[in-house]
This record gives sequence, C-alpha cells and structure tokens, in this order.
Amino acid sequence: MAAPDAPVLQMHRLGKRFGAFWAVRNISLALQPGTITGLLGPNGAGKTTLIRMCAGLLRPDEGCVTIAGEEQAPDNLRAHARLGVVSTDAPPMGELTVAQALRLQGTLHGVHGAALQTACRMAAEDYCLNDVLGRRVRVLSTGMRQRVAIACAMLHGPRVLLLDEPTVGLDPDVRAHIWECIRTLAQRGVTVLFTTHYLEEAARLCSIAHLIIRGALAMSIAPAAMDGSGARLERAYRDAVQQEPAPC
Amino acid sequence: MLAFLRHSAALTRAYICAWCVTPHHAVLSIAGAIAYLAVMNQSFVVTLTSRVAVGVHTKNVDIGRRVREELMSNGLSVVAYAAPSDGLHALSNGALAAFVDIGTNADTVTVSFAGRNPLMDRELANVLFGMTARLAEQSGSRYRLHISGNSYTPDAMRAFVTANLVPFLLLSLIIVNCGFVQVMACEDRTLFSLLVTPASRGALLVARLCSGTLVSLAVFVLGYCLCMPLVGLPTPARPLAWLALCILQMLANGAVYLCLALLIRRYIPFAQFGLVSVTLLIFAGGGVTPFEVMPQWERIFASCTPALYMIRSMRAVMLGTDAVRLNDLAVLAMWGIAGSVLAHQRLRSMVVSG
Repeated sequence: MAAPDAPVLQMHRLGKRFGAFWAVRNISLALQPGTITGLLGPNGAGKTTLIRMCAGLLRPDEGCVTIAGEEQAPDNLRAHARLGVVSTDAPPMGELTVAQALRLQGTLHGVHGAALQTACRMAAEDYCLNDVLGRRVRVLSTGMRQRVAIACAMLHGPRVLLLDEPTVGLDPDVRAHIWECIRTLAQRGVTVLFTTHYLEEAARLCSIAHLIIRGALAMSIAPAAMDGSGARLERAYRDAVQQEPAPC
Repeated sequence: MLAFLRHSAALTRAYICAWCVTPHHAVLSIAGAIAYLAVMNQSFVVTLTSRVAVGVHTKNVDIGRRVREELMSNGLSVVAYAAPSDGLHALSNGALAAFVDIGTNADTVTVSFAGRNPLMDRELANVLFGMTARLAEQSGSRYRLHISGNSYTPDAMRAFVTANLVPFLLLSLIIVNCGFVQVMACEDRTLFSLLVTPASRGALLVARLCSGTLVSLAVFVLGYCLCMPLVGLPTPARPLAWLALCILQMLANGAVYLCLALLIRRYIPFAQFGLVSVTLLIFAGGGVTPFEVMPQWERIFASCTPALYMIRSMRAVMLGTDAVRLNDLAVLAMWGIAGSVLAHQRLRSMVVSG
C-alpha cells in the first residue's frame, strides 16, 4: 500500500515527438495528493501535449506517466478511471442536457443506481447547476459549460484532476468561482494539474508552478516565490522566457 | 464484459437522446425518406395510362375490335391506322409508344416499340405480347405462341423498383446517422471527452453503430409505412426476412462509413466522398444497369462492392421469387466485420498519434 503522501501523479522522463519535432522532452514531475500544480509557458511550449499524455489521449514516445501506481496509456482503462479531465479538447456532448451529461459520465466511470443519483445531485449542488439541469449543454454560457465540464470530471471522485486552460474566456466572477472549486477539491485531497496563461491565476492557486519552454522544464517556482498578485511570478516568467533564444 | 455492455448501452442511449432532443432531425429525416421513396418510385415505376397511345393496323374488323378492347382494358389509348406506313410515321414522330401491325388472319403480328423509354417498353411488352399470344391462339393451332419469363405485372414491377431503391435509402440514412455524426464528434472534439473515460474503444464503436442503426431503422420504417398508402409501395413478400436484411445492410454499411468517417474526420471532405461513393454504388450495384448486361470490367468492379449483394438480396426478399443467397449475406457480413475492425484500429491510432 502506498504511503499517504506518496506522489499520485508521476511523470518520468516524459517525451513526445511529432515527426522530427520534440513537443515535450525529458520532463519528470511528481505531484503529491491535495496539491495544485500549474503549468506555465508561452503558446506552443508543450503544456497541452503534456496534459494530453497524462490524460491518456497521447502515447508518449519516451518515458511514462503513472497515476496512483497505474501506468497511463490510451488502452489502460484503470488509469482513466482514476482521472478527471477538463479540456478544451474534450467538451461534454453538447446535445445532451446537463442531467444527461452527468449521468453518462457517471455510468461510464462505473457509478450506478442510487450512488449515481446521489453523485449527480451533489455535483449539481457543488457546481450550482440545479437551475440548468434540463438545458442542453450547447446552449449554456461558456462559464456554465466549464462548470458542467468540471462537474462531469469530478462526478466519480477521481484522485487526479487535469485542467487545460480552465478559465480561458471567462469573466472575473466565473473565474473566481472556478478557482474556488479547484481550491475546495484540493482541500478534499484531489491532486490538481492545470495549464494557464494567466500568471495571477497561477500565483493565487498553485502550490507549485512549472515553467515549460520549448517542451522542456525551464523552471519550477516554489510557493515562497508567490505573492498572491502574480508580480514576482511574472518577473520570474519574463526572465526565464527572455533567456531562451527567440524562435526561428 | 458487464462493464462493456453497460458502457455500450449508456452511450447508445446518450447518442439517441442527443439525436432526439433536436426534433427537426427526426422530421427532416422522415420527410426525406418519404420524398425519396415517393419521388423515385414515381420516376422509375411506369404506370400505363390513356396518355400512352398504341397504334394498330389490321384489315380484319373483328380482330381490330378485340385488340382495341384488350388494349383499352389495360388503360391504353388506341389509334387505328389505314396503312402501316402511317402508323410507323406516327411512331417515329413520337405520337405513339408502340405500333402493332396484324395480318388479316392474325398469321403475322409485328410489334414495333418507340424505343425511347426502356422502362415503358418493358411494361408495354407485357401487354402487347399477352395480346399477341391470345390472337395467335385464337387464329389456329399452327400459329400457337408461347411467352415465358414475362411475368412483370405492375405490382411486381413496383416491388422490383422499390427493392432497387430501398438499399440506397438505407445507405443514405446510415451515412448520416453513423458517418456524419462521427465526423461532427471528431470536429467538435466531443469524441475526446469519451476517450478519456474508462469506456473502451469497442464500446464506443458498438454504441455508435447501434444508435445509428436504431435511428435509421426507425426513420426508414416510419417513412416506408407512411409511403405505403401514399404511393402504393408493396408489402415485402417476406416481411421478417426483409427487416432482418435491412438491419444487416445498415450494420454492414454503418461499420464501413464509420471507418471512413474516422479516417477523413472532416465534414466537407466526408460529404463529398459520401456523395461520390453512393453514386458509384448505385451504378455498380445494378440499380440502373442490370448486372447481366454489364461489361466484364464493370462486373468485376460490381463484385467488389457491397451494393450488388445489397440489391440482389433485397430483391429476393421483396419479390419472393428467389431464395436469398447465403453468400450475398456472408459478403455483407464480411464488409461489416472488416469495417468494424478497421474503425476500431483507427480509433486507437487516432488517440496514439493525436
């Protein structure tokens, strides 16, 4: 049995190549339970590729990802069962109503009967979805859709939550609500890994933030470096980005 | 196994719910099916009416009267000509669909067709050869005439044409409900929301095939039933076998087009490919040109497509004149299995390659 503070999500010398181009190379990270980890970096740095490999949507060309001791792979359904994923690449089926989308996610993750009813009711309460349960996901606002996506991802009580730019395009109130949801999940022991372009968001939320540039881990910023406003994080980010040679 | 069945059932239900929440899908699909069956049947089934005129020349008054009565009882107009050359002239001008020149004692009967519409000629031949046979019989034993293999009554003709049309309606419905919805799931990336769950690729595939087949079958049966009184579509000779064959054809084609949808993954190229492939299959399957009159190269091409087997087996169950060939069903099943295996592989490699 694993120790309570043993890493839940581990990446070991992870690499992914598209043709001759290495999108991600030699990244090793270990995420403890109940932590919030941010992935920062300019566009095309490899953050989404990294999240996709963790989600099992991409098979790494080098290294491996393990989730609670289970090696992640597109075919390893046990590893998939331990994850919740919120991604712009994976929106819930838009034609379903919110209630149907929640029930479908629950059933696919092995939640049935009374447990499914309870899980759906709790998810609707936790993410303020009671008023929109009968509405189609496609007609909801972007913020509400994002809440539905998080509710779907968390319905089965996964140990790890992956979020790919969860607050992009959202107004400040909705962003604040999403942040609150993420903090609550971490307090319950869920390990959160998310990508973002908002340095303030990373500073407010993360236990630790990793800066990725050109597919490689350029810097890991400790919680002590955070001052809540993101100013110090932004300075560190700019310094790291400027040290890298400009792209051709 | 239980998880697989649960996942397949949940996904099938979700796909059908997603289809049903937009009622215009159902209305449009059923209206499209009715329009296709009604319009195409009217185009291909020839009904002989008083607008179709047949010219007759005979010097025997009694025979002339009998011929007129028989042709008019079949709904045709009859025009009498004093000389054969006048009738042939009218035939060449398009005033007549056929011209019959009968000798004085019915010892010679010459039937000439306008030759402009083979479908109409076939219907006319049915009437004119029947009439000729009776004239020959009545004229004396020396001129007895036997006609065989010309048993296409108007009802049989309608069943024959409908049997040609139905496979392509099924094909179109399944391309929409299996192929296009899959392409859209790839384009709007909702497919990925399912790929990150513990549902297996097999369950995703089974659910898409089952939901597409159920939706298509519902649309087809509703459309067909509504068309039966509307345009007089025939009741299939073997209804249960017909329904089973419809399901087999939809599953087989569904798997093939699901595989193609996963290969192409974009709406417009898939739409273009779908249109071209259906057109090719209509010709290859013998829907327009009978297999028996195809040149050798076309026969080889036709044998390599599922359309030939679809039409041949559909004719057998709708007309009830032939037994369904087991190898036709086997070929269709093989197409389905090959499509499913390739679609499964494609679903895996899509994830692996991104």
